[in-house]
Amino acid sequence: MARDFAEKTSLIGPSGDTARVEDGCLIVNPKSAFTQAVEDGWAFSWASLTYNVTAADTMFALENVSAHHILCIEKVIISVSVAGGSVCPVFTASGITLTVTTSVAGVNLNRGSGNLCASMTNAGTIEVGQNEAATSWLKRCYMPQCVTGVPYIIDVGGAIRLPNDHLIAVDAIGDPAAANVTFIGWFEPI
Amino acid sequence: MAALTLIGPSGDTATVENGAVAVRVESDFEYAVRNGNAYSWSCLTYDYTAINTILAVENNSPTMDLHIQEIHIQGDTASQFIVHTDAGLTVTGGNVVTGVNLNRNSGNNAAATSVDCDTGNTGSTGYAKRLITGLVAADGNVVLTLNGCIVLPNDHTICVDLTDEGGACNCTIIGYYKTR
Repeated sequence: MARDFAEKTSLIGPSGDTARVEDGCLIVNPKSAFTQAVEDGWAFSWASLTYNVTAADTMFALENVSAHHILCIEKVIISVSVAGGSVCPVFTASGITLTVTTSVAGVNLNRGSGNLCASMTNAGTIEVGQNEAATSWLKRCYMPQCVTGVPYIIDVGGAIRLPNDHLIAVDAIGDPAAANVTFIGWFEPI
Repeated sequence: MAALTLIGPSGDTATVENGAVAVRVESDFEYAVRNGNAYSWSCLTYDYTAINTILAVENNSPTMDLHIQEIHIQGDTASQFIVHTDAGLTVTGGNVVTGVNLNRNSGNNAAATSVDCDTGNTGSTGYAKRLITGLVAADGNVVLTLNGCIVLPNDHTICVDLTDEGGACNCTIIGYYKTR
């Protein structure tokens, strides 16, 4: 097919930067929604301090109470200390009033941002008595076998999305003498 | 039909083969390494007390944010580890840890202050600004891959604590600078 004209063109961004081409390859830098949220100051971490867990406790729960944002989960990091380790169900639920034992404030991952999540989440909650075990964690997403002293890191990558009044939580089926959970996530406007 | 050739600042043009344009993925970290703006801060083994900040790194650049790429934590005693952050403090205490440029062909130096056994931060009381917590086994090794998602502006610090006392620990923080 005949071509009308041939032109060399460059990709130029709003800042005036020009996209590089090296070794015949256009250089691209994929940016995930999470990375963008970090840049914009809408990504947070909720991390519990160690405590002594009772068997089938919900070790940590995080609820989105924002009516205007979806809470997207990027990572879940679970640590336990119990002989033989423990299966730690990671599950979701909704319409539940959390019983707060120790409130955990979200910390903005971009320390240059003044955005707060306290107004839009019920923070993290160490919570007991969900009784999810009785229903075999009906809305379970993961059932990792966690080994003592080895953090189990789940790279969710935003695949769990929590609307208003929905929560993510982690239980321990065993009876760890010590346990920690960290959730990393970001808020996305509806 | 019009034909366009994509050309970069160096004059290279993008290849199209089998109907596909050739692209190469380059992350912010890889870009920073290439340009000599990525560093490692790694403390030598030392004897640590309980609730000890085993490594602290403060960003001292007024123009670039410090992004944390990876954290490696080791201790000879089972302990809780806590990654936390603070600002406006003086990093001081143990041994100075100099950032090592990951691109050994670069002469850039890290705009950072770093020490092991830091006593300058107050975050270890209550850990209100904790980012990641977990447990490390005796002689265990924890690797946290963060891909730059913790962002420290000028005068902000990242600290790694072990809350139980032990005899030997090590910590490494990998990070890179990116213009704000």
